[in-house]
Amino acid sequence: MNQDPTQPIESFLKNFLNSLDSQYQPTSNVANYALQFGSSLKRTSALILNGKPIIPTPQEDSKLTFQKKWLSTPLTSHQLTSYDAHLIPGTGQFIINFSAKVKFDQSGKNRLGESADLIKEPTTVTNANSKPRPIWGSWNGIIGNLVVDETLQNECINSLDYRLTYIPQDSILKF
Amino acid sequence: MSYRGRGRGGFHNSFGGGVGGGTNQQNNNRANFGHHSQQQQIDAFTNSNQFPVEIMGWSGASSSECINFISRKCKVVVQNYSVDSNTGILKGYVKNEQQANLLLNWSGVKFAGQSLRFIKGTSNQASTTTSSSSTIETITQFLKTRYNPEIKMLNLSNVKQDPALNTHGFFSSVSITAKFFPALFKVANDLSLEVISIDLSNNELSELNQLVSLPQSFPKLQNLSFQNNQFNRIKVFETWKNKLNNLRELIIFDNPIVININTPQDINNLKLEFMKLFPRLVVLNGEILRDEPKLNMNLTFPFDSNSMFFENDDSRNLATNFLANFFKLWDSNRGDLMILYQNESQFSMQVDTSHPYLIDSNNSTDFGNYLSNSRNLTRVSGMNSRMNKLAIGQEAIFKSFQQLPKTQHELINKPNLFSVECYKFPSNNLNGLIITIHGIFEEIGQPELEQSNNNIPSGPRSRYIPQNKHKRHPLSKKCFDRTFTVIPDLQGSMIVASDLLLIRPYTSENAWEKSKEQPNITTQPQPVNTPSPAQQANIPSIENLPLEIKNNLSPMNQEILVKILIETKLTIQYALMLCEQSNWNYQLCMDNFKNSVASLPREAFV
Repeated sequence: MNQDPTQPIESFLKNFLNSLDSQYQPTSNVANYALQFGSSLKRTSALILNGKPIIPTPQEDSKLTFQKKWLSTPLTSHQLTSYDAHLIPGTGQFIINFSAKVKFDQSGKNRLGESADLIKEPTTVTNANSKPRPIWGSWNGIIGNLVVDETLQNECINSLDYRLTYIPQDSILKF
Repeated sequence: MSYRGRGRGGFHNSFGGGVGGGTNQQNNNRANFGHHSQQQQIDAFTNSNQFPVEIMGWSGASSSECINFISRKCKVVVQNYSVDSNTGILKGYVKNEQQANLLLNWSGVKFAGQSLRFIKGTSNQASTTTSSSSTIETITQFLKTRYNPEIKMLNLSNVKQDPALNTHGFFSSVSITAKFFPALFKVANDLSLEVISIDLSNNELSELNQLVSLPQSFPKLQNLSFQNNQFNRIKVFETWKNKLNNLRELIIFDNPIVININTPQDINNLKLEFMKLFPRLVVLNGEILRDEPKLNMNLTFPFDSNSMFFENDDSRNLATNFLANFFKLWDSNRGDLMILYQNESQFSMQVDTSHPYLIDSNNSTDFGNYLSNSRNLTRVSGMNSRMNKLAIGQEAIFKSFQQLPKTQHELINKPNLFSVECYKFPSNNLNGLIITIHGIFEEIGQPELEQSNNNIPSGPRSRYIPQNKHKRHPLSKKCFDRTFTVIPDLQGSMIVASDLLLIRPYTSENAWEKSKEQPNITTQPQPVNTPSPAQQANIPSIENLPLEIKNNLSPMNQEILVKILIETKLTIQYALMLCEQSNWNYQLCMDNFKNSVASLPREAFV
């Protein structure tokens, strides 16, 4: 082989993980916000999270089901730490195995910045519109597997298997 | 003895003997009490083997430095040491008299500018050993009377008035009193008491320094009462910040901290401070601070966990057989696996040293046997080295296998250490199956072949290679993730098209086992409301909603409906009515429900 086919995968993976981490802008539309998550997934991608499949319904494909559910995770921050990939002959597809760290916002707010607190800080004009500041927990470990069209363009992810491998002892978040 | 007739007999065997005895005796006991927690860590059999020694002339450095010095220099391990606060003598135990004699020969050895002197311990210490173990017994006995296993509650209210503890002199002086709670928590920890609630009312507490170890001993603590103590500053609770992550209810009535504040602003600030310290605090002095269902939702990863996933029964059989056979041969004779690989098969291995893990000081994190072949593409950038680290075809793959340490995977004996996902390869051109396994293995032998030295440049530096070649890396446990793309062939056997192996640091706690134990914790907050097993089978969930109702509702409203069903125990028809009348606002639903619950007919409920 004259050319390294795995070369563009790194930025693709980073973009994919960034899309899962995108922050909500209080002014924007919630539906549009949710559609950013994993935008490179195909509508019919086979999705398995922590050993449980995302099951599409007649009304919602697997991608949308996933995006809606991801909306109810606290804010995340992923960091890619390792990956490797093989191009499977005759398929035009890569199989990618990656390893990453992920931390969660443990402030008790959801992704949309909604808090469960009934007692509020006295609001001042300055912090009323400011973005919620996340309180990051310790790093969790995840391992991901993807089958991706070799073009790496647009909606190209055929399957995603996302598995948490390590939960830190001081995690406030429950799994 | 001159003490005779002064007080109770037999004080040598009880903790509080010093009450009626001379000062010296009291001090000995006092010093000893603080160390009984270390005492417990020693098994019964070593207890019987211990020989007391005393060390003098050590004060040029700390006691632990001295003990470490003795261990290094004299090759004698002094355990369970303590400093006699009265005499300044460092006292401890060695294994037997022979070890003590060995130590005595070292008398005069220089340590931190002084000469150390060793003498054999006196019978005095032998008796305090007994006294210490009786302290543990007393505390154990006390715990038994104060622990209610049904509601997992530990009643530590007003401990100073406990007659049994007072008989043993636990609160005879300030310094002994200060050691009572740490000792108690240690004993409770050793007994593995599962505690959800603790009542610490009426204990004259104003600081947490006696209670620093409480979160560690009772990580599942949900309810805590400090009623009628002397807490007067929120600052003292800082040491517990984010350490009681399950604390749900705190009672702090009748403390200066609440008595002395008046303005609504100050009261509000106090609540906010406690909320910052305890992320799951819902009730403070009976007041609800947080919307609990919402809090639980916000602090729960919404995806359930399952350690094994198979797309169907066929893939279950195929994958379990494949993995069992593969790792049996991987551990015994990797050459026998080559039948699975063909000319176009690919194998590569990557190392991720930065994957998070629980530090285990007994396990080496040396990756030297893997690093030079690692195809972690975030770190290998040149095209040539990327391609060199990819093995294609039987011969190259077998060579790569031989360059990895010999291993043992306890797939059959300890299946909990592993997790598996298996699903169809998403391509119509390939009738393949993806099998991913995560878990732990142990290295049991060095690789058969040296790693290829792709990275080491040729030239003058190459003369240093032989030294590296003979370096043996320590063997240890590791975690791994391995993804096979397999294709069943016409004869019904399998071909591995792609084999991706990832090696990362060993961790004794894996996520799939950890997430399994969580439900136990979350069902405990309201033991009174815990439904019977028969009811549990019918717990409302989005999956269980009747389709005709589910299809008419947005996912958000489905979730609200399920929450209302769980909270109110209403039938689905009534719950729907409630939601519609409350504009699908969860809080409004609950308010309306509370207002009208008395007037609802019996048939409104499940």
